[in-house]
This record gives sequence, structure tokens and C-alpha cells, in this order.
Amino acid sequence: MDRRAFFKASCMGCAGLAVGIGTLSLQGCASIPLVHAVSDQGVLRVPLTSFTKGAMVIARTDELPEDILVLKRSDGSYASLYLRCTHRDQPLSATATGIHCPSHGSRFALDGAVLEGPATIALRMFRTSADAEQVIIELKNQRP
Amino acid sequence: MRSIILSIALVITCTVRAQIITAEDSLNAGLIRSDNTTLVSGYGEVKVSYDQRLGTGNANLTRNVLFLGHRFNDRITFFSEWELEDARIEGGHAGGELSLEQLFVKFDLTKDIYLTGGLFVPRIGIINENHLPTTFNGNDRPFVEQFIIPSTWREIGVGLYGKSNRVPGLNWSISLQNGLNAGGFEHGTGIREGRGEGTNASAANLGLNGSVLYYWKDLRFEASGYYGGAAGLSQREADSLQLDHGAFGTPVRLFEANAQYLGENVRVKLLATRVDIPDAARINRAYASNTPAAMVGAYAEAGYDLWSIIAPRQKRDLIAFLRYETLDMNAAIPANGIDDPTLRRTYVVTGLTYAPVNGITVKADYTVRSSGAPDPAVRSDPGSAPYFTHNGWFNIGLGYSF
Repeated sequence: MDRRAFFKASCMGCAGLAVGIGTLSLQGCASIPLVHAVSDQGVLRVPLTSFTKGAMVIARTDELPEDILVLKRSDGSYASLYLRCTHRDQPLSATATGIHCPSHGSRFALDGAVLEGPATIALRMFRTSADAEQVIIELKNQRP
Repeated sequence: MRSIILSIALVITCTVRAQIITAEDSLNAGLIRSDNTTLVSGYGEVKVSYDQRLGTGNANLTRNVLFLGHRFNDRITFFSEWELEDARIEGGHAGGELSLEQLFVKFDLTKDIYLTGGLFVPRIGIINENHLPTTFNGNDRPFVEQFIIPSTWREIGVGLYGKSNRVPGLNWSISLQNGLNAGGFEHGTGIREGRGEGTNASAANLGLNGSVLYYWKDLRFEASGYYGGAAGLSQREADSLQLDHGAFGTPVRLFEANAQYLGENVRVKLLATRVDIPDAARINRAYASNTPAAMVGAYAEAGYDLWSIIAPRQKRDLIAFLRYETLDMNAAIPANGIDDPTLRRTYVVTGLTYAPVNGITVKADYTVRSSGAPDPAVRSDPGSAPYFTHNGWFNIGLGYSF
């Protein structure tokens, strides 16, 4: 492939990707519900009704600088991940399949494990349980 | 020497007043609310290279960067990166550079938007913002992101960064920084030598940058643009040189788009970029720098993690990769410019990146560069090293970040 053809292919590829992004954004990417949760003595409560549209909810509280991603697992249990990168403390961007650091490129799985550096440490997780009506997140208790 | 000792003493004095933690300590200490904490980290790389045609070798500690950050409270954080290139700086000798690669304060305006102020790298391309040696294959950063996008391109200004909760994975940024200096442009280096890098740069001309970044499944898409003035001159100087001055006078435009596939074992990167300098003829008339009117570049890279075959249960990476790059720094030249075929290049880089643990990479690669033949009109120094239109380099190196 000569240089001109490579440039053309690259530009066409990028244009195609841009169109793809727009299409996907409109069609396939339901937003992750955002729930404003009030902390009561270091405990956040997120209503179970927040999970009617999907298995992920972003919990926002004044207690913490960044949001918390609350996940409903396939076995019915819940997990909570702190959306702050363990590399340089930057805010993270959560999607349906993973968690990304826009600043330095670190990637994390939905269980908090590092998939790609520069981060070397897994995301912080909070002890999380549920009762009949709410998911209960203990901010003072991090899961090992 | 005295000033160095004083500087070290000052750093020690400052840091003992705050709590110093590493990233790992912060996890173990459970510091979710972490006011008044200082974070130390760093990265660096060393490279040994063998020039196939010249038959010479070079060993260099390319860079060591010390990161020092401090969180004043949950909303205000300080970041700095001190970079030493080529291991040492010695009076009277060429080589070596000590610089502040970044120094800015980050203000969290909301949970979704933050503002940075100071010396920082805007989001342009893949490498400019994310240049840790453990995150790219090969001992050299992609050449397109050195010659066309002049990474690491940092200037002084303010930036606004945000993410969308409505569209998960969608991030954006805009920044306003001091502009380039067309008087610094040099033949063969594009706009690179026009960067201010925080050193008495002109603030009368500005650079505006914007980016959109989107994650979808294992894909990452980004597009960014830059528009900035390159003549921060007084009216009298600008009239004398017949250049447009002001915030966006004598403009430079840059557009870039990239995409990455980050699968479990397969990784693919694509990037294309273009720089336009519409007033190149006037810049050449003023500074005789043979500045081009346009430059273009693109690359494609594919990598596969062989460790997933060798020992799939072990958390290590052994990435075999191939990268093809093409760039043209004379894509368009003004009437008073001279075409230089050596600035039309392709690079093929292939090699292995071994990561025994996250944060350490051992790299080996073979780089082939092909270009047009030199024109004596622009390469006439008889004392310079011979130029080969086709040459190869064997490189081995080590990178780290923590």
C-alpha cells in the first residue's frame, strides 16, 4: 500500500469509526443510572429499584470526591467499586464492560482488577450487601 | 552545588510537613478521604541501540521522571513531573536536559468536570498525554507522534475535562494555552521547536485544543483538534516581518483521530494526523526556516500477547508487535520552500515487549526507516554523517513506571 493510499485508508477508517461511535451512542449505549445517595454514618444506601434498567448504577455522594460504581452480579450479590484511578487518583470512566482512565490509559475489569497499566493496584472496593429494599455500601470498610 | 543542596533541603522540609505515601500505602491505609497527602511516583526508560548501516551503537538513559503530587483537599490537587533526559547535564557539553514536563493544579468543579491550570499536556493523540514507557510498544515512541504531533507538547494555560453520565464512556476536554512561536520552527522538525514548554513563551498568541474520547466495549476512539496563533509579536515586529500577530495570527491547525482495540490478547492501534500552516510562505520569508504548509502522518500497530499461549494462568505479558508508520513533513510546501525528500519517511517497527510485572517492561525491537534521497540544496553540510535512505536499528531497552 503506498503512502497516499494508507493516508486515505486511515482517514476513511477514522471517519467510519466516528460514524460508528455516533450510531452506537444512539442505539446501544443505555446510560448508567446516577443515584444521589446520602451517607448516614459512613453507610450509603441505594434503592434496589435503581437496578430495574440494568446491573450497574453510579452512586454519588458528597462524602467522597469520586463516584462509586455499584454492580449487581449474576448470582444476585452486589459489589461497589470506587471510580478513582489507583495510579494518579484521576476520575475513571465506567462502561458496561470495563472501567477506563482517560488520562493515562489504565483499564480495570468490573471486579476492580488491573487489565492494563500504568496502574498496578486494583480499584478500591467497599463492603456491600443488600436487604429487601436497598443496597448497603459501607464506606469505612474496604474489601480486601 | 549549593543551590542543589538548598533545593533538596527545601523539598525535604516541605514533605516532612505532609504525610508522604506511595500509591500502595494509600490503599493499605484506607485513605479514601485523603486531605493533605503527598504522592511520589515516577517513570523512566533506558535504551541501547545499534545502527546497522553506520555500525555504531548508542547507550542512553533516555529519561527519568519524578512525579510529585499533593492533595490539598478533596477538590484541589497539585501535580508535577521533573524530567531528566540523558542521565546528566554538564556545563559546556551538549546533551542532557532537566525540565518540568508538567506542573499544574487540578480543581474538581463537579464530580464530572475538573479544571487544570498551569503547565500541562493537552489531549492530542495517544502519546502526548499517555507517554509512560510501559504503555507503548517499542523503545521509541511512535515517530508520527514525535515529528507531526510534537509529543510531549506541553504549554501553560487552563484545561477543562469532563465525562458524560448520559453516554457512558464519553469524555471530552478543551484547553486554552499559550501558542507556538513560528520563529522557532526548524527545517526537518515541523512545529516541534516552536513549543514554549513553559519557558518564557509568548502569551500574546494562544492555542485552543479540543478532544472527544469514547470507550465502547474493548474499543477506544479519540479525535482532537488544535488551532493556534504562532506569532506572539508586537505590532511593530509583526509589521516588520509581514506576519499576522494577535491571539490567532499566523495560525497552525492540527487534526488527529485515533482508535484502539484493547482485547484480552490482541491490541491494535490506528492514528492519523494532519498539520496545516497556511502562512508558511510568510514564515519562510521572515525566518528562512523552510517551513512546510502541511504535514501528514499515520500509523497502524498490531500486537499479540504470546504469554497467553506460553503460560495463560500467569499474569505476565509478552507482546509481539508490528507497527507501520508513514509521515510526510513536506506534504505541501509554499512557493518559497524547498522540497526535502528525506522528510517523506516510512518506519516499520517490530519486536517484543515483556512485562514480568505490571509497571516494568523489557523491550527489544528492530526499526527500519526508509525515505527519499537527500537534496544537496537542503543537506549540504559535508561534515555531517552520511544519510542512508534505508537503514535499520536494533534496540533493546527497559522501561518502568510506578
